[in-house]
Amino acid sequence: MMAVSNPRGTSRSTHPRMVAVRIASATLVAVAIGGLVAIGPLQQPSADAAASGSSALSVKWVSDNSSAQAVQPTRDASSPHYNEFKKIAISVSQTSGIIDQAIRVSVTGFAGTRSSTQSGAAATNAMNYLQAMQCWGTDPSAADFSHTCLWGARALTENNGLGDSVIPDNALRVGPLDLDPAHPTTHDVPFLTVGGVTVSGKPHLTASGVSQYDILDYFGPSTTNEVTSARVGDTGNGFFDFETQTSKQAPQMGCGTPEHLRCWLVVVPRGTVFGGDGEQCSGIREPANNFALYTVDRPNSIQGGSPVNDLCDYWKNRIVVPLDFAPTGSTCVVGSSEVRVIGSQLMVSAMSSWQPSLCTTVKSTFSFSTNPDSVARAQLIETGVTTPNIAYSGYPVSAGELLTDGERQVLSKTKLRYAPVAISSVVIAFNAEFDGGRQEHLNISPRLMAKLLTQSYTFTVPQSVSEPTKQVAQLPGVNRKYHYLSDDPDFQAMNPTNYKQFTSDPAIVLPGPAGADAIRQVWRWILADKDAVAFLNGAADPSGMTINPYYLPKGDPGAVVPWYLDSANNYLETPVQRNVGLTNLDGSPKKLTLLNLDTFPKNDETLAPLKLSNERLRFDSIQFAPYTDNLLTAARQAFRANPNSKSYWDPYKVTDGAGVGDWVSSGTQLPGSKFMIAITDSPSAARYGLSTAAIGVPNNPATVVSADAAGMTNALVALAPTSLDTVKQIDPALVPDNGYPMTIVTYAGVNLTKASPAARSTITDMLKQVTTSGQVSGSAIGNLPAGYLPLTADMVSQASAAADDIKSYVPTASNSGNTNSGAYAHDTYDSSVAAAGAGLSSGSGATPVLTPGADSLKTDRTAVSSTEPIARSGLAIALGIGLVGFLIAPFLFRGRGFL
Amino acid sequence: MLRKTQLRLGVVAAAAVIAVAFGAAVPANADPTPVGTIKPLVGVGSDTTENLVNGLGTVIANIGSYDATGSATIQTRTGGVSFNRPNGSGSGQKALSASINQSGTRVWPATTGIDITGQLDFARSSAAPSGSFPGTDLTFIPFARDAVSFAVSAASDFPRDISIGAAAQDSVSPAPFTLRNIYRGTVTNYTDNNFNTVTIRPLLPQTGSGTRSFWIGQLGMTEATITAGGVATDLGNTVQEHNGNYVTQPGDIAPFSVAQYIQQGNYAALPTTVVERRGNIQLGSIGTIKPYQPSVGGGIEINPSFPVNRLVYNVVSTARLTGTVAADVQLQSVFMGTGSQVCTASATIKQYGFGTIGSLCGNTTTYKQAFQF
Repeated sequence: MMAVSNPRGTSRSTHPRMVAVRIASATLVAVAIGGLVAIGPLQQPSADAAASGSSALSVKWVSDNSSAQAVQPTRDASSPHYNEFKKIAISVSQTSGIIDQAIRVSVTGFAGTRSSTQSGAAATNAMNYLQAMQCWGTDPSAADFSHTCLWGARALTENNGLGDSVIPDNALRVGPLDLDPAHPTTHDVPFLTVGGVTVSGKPHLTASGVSQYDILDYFGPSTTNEVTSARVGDTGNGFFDFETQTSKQAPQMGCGTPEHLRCWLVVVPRGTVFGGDGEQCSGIREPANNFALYTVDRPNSIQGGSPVNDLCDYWKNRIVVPLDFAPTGSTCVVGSSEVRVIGSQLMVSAMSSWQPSLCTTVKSTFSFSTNPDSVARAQLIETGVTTPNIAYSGYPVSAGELLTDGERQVLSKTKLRYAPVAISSVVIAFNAEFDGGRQEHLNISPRLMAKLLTQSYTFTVPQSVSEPTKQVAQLPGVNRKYHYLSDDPDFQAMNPTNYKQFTSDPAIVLPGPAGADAIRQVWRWILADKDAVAFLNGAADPSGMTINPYYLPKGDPGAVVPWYLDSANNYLETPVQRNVGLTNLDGSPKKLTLLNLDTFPKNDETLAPLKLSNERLRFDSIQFAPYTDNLLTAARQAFRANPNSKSYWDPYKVTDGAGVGDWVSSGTQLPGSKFMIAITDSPSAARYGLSTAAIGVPNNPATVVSADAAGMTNALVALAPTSLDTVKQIDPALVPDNGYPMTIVTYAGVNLTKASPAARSTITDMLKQVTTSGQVSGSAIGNLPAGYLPLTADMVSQASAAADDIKSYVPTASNSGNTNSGAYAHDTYDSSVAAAGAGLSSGSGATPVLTPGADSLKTDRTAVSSTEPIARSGLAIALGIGLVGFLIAPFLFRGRGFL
Repeated sequence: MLRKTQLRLGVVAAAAVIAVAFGAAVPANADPTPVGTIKPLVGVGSDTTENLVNGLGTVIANIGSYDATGSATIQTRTGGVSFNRPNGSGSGQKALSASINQSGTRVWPATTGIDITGQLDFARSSAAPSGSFPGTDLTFIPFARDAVSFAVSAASDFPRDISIGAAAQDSVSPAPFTLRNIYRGTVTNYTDNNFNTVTIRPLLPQTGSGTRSFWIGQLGMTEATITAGGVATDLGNTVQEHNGNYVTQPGDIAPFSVAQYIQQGNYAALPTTVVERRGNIQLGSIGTIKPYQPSVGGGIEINPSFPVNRLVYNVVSTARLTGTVAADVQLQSVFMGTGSQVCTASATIKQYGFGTIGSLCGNTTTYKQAFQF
């Protein structure tokens, strides 16, 4: 369910420069798609795409002359629908190289959506709206093509996100007549999975007599991409964003697998003519006519009935748009060597594009698991043979960050080399849709972000109508006056022209609880601003708002809250004073502004509701606003407007042994009152078509800058050395006013000491490719996805030099330590450990032999004793120190696999 | 991604949520009297219509209606089992489904209860059929109309005519004085006749009550968004629907059933026991439309054009509407069609404060739902 805003006067959320870049590289797209012909049928790029240089496609409802002409149904000029649809044209922003992303669907020549309470059935979208779905069938003209379309996942379930946006039987696959499981009918509109399973579109009775709707086993309101209704502006124009789902997200449709590289977007316009005959289509009735059922072709009718039901005639009015998916499976040859890559989430989008290309060119499978950058850095110097040789992160490994002396010693004996691989940015993405339409512009200052991240607004702490005032009593008085974000004068000052349009409260979606350098960059931006720092340190903003006391250091005079629960968590009418605040592990006070945070803590310990009635438990900050897995899921969650807030008491929820009743998700936000703010990265935001906030420049927040290509480019002058001179990171405090402060450069760190010559050679090949052709913006395999800024020429040569060094690295007799220079020295030789190693390593000290396409990680599959030649001390350290890491690390630091 | 178990549970949970309804604690029990009386057509469920159906039972001898609250268990048939008293619209539907027991395996309450096959004939419901239970097993037969308006203290200067408001006004500043904005917390006070500012306290009836969910829905909000304003409160879940005694302060405002308001005012003249517990409330007009109007022959009746209104239903087994055995014919003659005994008892319906619904009364073709367990 999505609403549409009129495109007039609104800007695409994708950055103009990005779009330009994408169009410019369209030749590459065409080439890549052409190259796929060998893999699957029907992979020719459309004529339009080839001609216009983009894969955008526009299809007319009648007399279409686009490349999709052949798959449009024949239009019947005598149909009562004909006149209302004949001017419609549907345009889709992208039709090739499709991944799990959002594409923009625009309509022209229709009529404005009308609301109705006709027949006593209220619907915001009653007539003249659009429905859209994804289908995988190979022949759009086939009679059972609709059986391959994902539709019906919002039916027959609560929290379906529909509200009263449409007559409910729109969401079904069949008519109400077919719905009664006790009296089964023969008619059905099943969903066919790509795997060949036929799933009935009707509920049936289980053996125990319970009505069971099998579609929900495959898709549900929280996973489906069907658009039940998209509104059209009064001009007859509008747009909405459609979430395409590959076989990774929706294996039941298999789009992107070799057999189904082409799937389809089907758009069904719904006009004003009723398209069925009674309850075999819709149960809608006429009160004025003794509640008689609507009959076919009834004019000026509220639109009841399913678009895919063949007993309604809406399906005949569909517009079919081909979608050519990027291959989802591994295109690597089975048995090719595998290189483990770990680290920064910022590389997810790039790696998913680079990876299939790398396995054909470098002949290795690069398996990428993200984990917190700091953990990736620690793992990079681990010396176990199965630990990765390459890790992505925003900073070099530094002694200060390592937790143990042992690790620091390893670091001093480890030779590391870093190459810049990507520039992207952390963004504050938002999805804001109110009664007045979609809002595309939002400005956020560092102090506003500090307020949101420290749960200093009432809508960021657990709320309940039980005791609404006491529930937020921990917040200072001024904060409690702001019920809505738009009440805060600080927000009003940042958004002077449109603050009133933000009429509901945002749900804040934060990745976590795992850390990331991307998150660190958010804090660095905030801490570069003196007003934000003052706020975090407890000072009031000009309107008197102060930080949530839970985020003050323990012992601060302000770090006291009224507490309404006794030691057994019983409600107290009269609160007790409770000292709160941040502490270190040893109990000493901790100051937020002095921390080098790479996480978003949720420290408010308030429980809700204070007074229990039929509830058994209370919910806390984490349940109220759960973390999302990572930056990409944050973007998807914001796109789907699903806060996933576990704040609705379900008294019948069966929990594991602890009793009946629990807090469950309150569902997605309703159409017309959506407001999601998510911390994500620029590629993920671009992927899901999210608007991104313009953020305030530190110490000059009235000046805002967007995360577009210009903003990121301008930020690069603020590259400042980290613990190593060659690994420079953008310092938000140094970014000029036209630069985007949360721009971040990601480096590939390579452990030369540990990596075998073969592994180093493979890594060099990979780095050479991803820093050259991998920096060409485009949606084709191997290109740089939207949202990234291509590396600068300097960075490319830096990466090239690093790649050469990695390949040509020769261990020498003494180690100069990890002091970053072009000249490499031997690792320190420890005879006692080396002696132990010598017995095992037959290749110890031997001249490395390069084996193309093979690397040390093959030893995952073979015995340790058969390791390939490794520099002797590398193995020695592996045995002497790394064993601990080898044994523990896989359990402690196993990253979340994406790919 | 398969989410089989999760979603299945979700459906069950949704079923369960609807079942939560709390009856107003009416001290006088109003089961068929004297205690132990057994009637042929037994109904349970909603508290909103319990008094009305009790009243109908005085003119339609076959109706035996059991209130939502009272003794923990009830026995409805001679020699029949004693079972837990269903409390609320959803519970009534569940118990009725268990009584129909099509599969032969149903118990009441679900999973933990006992076999109550044949113990019930109808369920009182103030809620329309739920889209979550598609099907036609149960027929919801509308027989009257209720309205919901806002109640304020009679002693206060709280404005008595407020419009409902719309999302389109959310961005208007200053916020218009509407019911939506009062519950959104963007209108927080009014000025009384002495030019003093009075802080508004918007009240909500207890969780799960029909009036609460109906009211929140009418305001265009959800349980998740009603908290945003930080002012709407159920006072620790103690505010009871149909009870005006919770409106105590000059700034208090609460949704209130218009039928209950009229009915409690008529309590002395009613054939059954109805407790007058309106306290000192007055009902306001919404958008200049009064919730009630003078009735021909004296007294007041619900205003048929009041904008915030809902149908109330008696729920029966669809199969029995075409049955030919004596019990089914009896059920049909009581509930089915505009000529049914319930629909012809329009004087009683009005006496209890509800509105009559003309030709819609007794409709058995429009409102259907599957069994709910």
